[in-house]
Amino acid sequence: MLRKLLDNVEQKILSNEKLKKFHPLHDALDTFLYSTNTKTEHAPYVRDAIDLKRTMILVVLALLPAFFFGTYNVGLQSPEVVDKDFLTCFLYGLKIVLPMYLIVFAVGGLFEAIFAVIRGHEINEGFLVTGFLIPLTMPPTVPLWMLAVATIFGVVIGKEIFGGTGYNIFNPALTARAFLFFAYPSYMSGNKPWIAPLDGLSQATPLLQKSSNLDITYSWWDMFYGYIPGSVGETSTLAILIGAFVLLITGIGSWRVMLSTCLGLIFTSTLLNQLTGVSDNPMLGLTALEHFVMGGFAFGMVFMATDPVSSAQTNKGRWFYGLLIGFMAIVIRCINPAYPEGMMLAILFANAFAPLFDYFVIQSHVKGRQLSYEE
Amino acid sequence: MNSFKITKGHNLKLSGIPSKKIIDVKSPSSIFFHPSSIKNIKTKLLVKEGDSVKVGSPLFYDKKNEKVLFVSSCSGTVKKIQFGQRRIVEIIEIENDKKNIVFDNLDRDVSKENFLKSGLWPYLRQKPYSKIPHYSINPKSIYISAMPTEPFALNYESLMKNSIKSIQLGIDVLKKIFDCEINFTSLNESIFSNLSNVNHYSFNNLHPAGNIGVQIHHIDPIKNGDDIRFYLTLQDLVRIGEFFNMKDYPNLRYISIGGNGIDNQAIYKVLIGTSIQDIIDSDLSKDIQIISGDVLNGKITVKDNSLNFHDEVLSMIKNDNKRQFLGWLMPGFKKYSLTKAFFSKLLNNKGSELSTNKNGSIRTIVPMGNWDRVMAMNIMSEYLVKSILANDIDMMEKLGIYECSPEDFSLCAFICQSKVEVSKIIEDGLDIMESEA
Repeated sequence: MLRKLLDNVEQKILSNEKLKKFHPLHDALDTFLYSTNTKTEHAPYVRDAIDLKRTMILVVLALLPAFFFGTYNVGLQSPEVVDKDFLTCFLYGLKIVLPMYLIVFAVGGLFEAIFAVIRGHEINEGFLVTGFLIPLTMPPTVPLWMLAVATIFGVVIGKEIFGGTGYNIFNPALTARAFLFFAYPSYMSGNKPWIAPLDGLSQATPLLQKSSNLDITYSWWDMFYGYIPGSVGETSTLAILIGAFVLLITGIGSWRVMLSTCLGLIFTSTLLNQLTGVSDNPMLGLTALEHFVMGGFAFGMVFMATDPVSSAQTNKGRWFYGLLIGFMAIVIRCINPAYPEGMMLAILFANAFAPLFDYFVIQSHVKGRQLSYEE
Repeated sequence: MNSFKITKGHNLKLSGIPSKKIIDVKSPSSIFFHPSSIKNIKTKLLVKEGDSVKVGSPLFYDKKNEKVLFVSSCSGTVKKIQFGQRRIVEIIEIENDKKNIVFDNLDRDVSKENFLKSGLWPYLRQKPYSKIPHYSINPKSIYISAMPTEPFALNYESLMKNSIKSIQLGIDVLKKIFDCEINFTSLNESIFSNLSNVNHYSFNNLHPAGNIGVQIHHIDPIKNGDDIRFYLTLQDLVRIGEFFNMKDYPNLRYISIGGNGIDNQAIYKVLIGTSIQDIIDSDLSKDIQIISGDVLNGKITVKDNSLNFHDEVLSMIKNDNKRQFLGWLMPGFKKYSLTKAFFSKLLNNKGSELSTNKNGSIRTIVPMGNWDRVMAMNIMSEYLVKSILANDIDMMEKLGIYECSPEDFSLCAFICQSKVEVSKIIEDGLDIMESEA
């Protein structure tokens, strides 16, 4: 019955000149509900079952552990929640996180749809992931109007002006976050995000504690499990690693990027550890393991750095791209006095360098080919 | 013997694999030629309706390649010539008198002139561009693959075990005419390893290892548009050997017919030009896709047509119009995929059936690295495709477009999650290069 209804609506849309341009909207709903049955027109006449929808939905699936834990943790960290049992915390978290998702998908979806209608192409599934990522990268206390503006910025400036998914240079979700980071810095880091509205008690993230030369009040395992304040999805390294496992066994996330980002982290933090005696900067003393579980490092590495479009697109390029992210993230964290967190900027920085890495890889491939021809 | 091992590729598990049984198809009442389906030729007719023809008498030639004749495979009368738009010749139908009288103006002394006159030249093709070569070209080398690996391919090891002598005759003829290296590729353990006058190369049985383009890439890569190699199928090599050594005209062809669209999958021995309807003795009105060639690189055709000129595989694949509710969310135990995104991966795609469903809609290229997982050549496929889309001729050359053929990229198109028509784009790129040359 639903199938018939969809077909009837489609016929009406296609037969009406004025409505025709809104076909992408119907198509998005139609192919969301039912798999397509388009026939192959060119060889090969049989095709793999994989499509972009499946690919993107698997990324969302991989994000679910971080989403669920993050939602729970919002309640756990909030001074408003007195009774810290799981359900209370989770429900309190939902009250904060769900409106964030509603805003992001409503606003972002609207702009995706507008661009799809203008361009006359189908709505790309890329936003499914971008939209799912944006709230997870935000502090739970971010005002919803800010989230809406950031989402529009991420979708339009981060992606659509380049031509849409597949053409963008920067990761759209991170572009959204970077926009808020620079436009409203006091809401994004520092003490404000975690000042509870009622009693004014402040809660600092471990990175902030360390950079302010305070003792970190959380144990390593707390940070690993995620019982710490921070952006919604970033706190639990464990939940993120479960997501990483899903991305790796399905072959959707690049293991090269994840591994090389880790290597970059280990190399840089070990290097900086050697300088602890020279400078009194407390951040220099953080070990690689501590860096890994603090802030947004793991989240950025697993879900942001691996974005296939904005990362390097050659296998060799991916190694350099990941190394650069690991290096920059730690350098910004430790040496830059203004920002205790460096992952977002490191990834955006590496996004900008990715085409250059690819360029060099292609040039060396071309050179190798010419040499082999001369033999 | 030089051995190569291809590690990236895939042998599609399709249902309806042809058995080894050889079915002799009786001589049909009419045969059909489709000049417009032959790549890159401008047809000039040599016959008109009502003319009588013999086996081997010329029917038409290519205006740009005038010494290359296309000949009749039966004796009889030209019954109908059907033109399409802009007067391209779509169908030449010849009524078969079943007497098999051979054209008497054929000279069997081995020479290039006689080869051209014999009507066998069109069985040669060249790389780059996968087209019938100009008669004036002397190739650097000739490639013969005794190991086609595409789905439903003929198994030459069993089919040709009694034809070793004819194969050797064919090799000797080509050697005499072209006086160049002849490279013969087969599987590691092969009945063909004692052939002389050839360089032996072996590959493992993983598609696309059997593709001539892939083999050339590994043996002696093509450097530019003028670096030309010829190639032909093993059964056409036998045809050439037999023509120059016997009195008959070799006008039969083995066709491997497979797929879940029919019941009697086997090897069929048919008169060249026999229509599909005349070959297959079963109901073809079902909802099936008839593909001349293999499913990865063939062309859609209809049952009234004969197979395209060079094809030796006929694939009949069921159409599937079913739409699954929330298909993207399902575990996918029965989804055929080379990726690890479905549970079918655990079952090694057993029980998954492929149909002509594209399984998704076209999206922009999202470089997930899937193409590279099935790319058997040292080619940066994503960048090559992008340079073709951008019409960047210089970059196409640098990335090795001359080494590429659409069929070598068919697995990339198969596995692409954005459903990019990779093979088609490569074909377009080669067309651009050819028009620039």
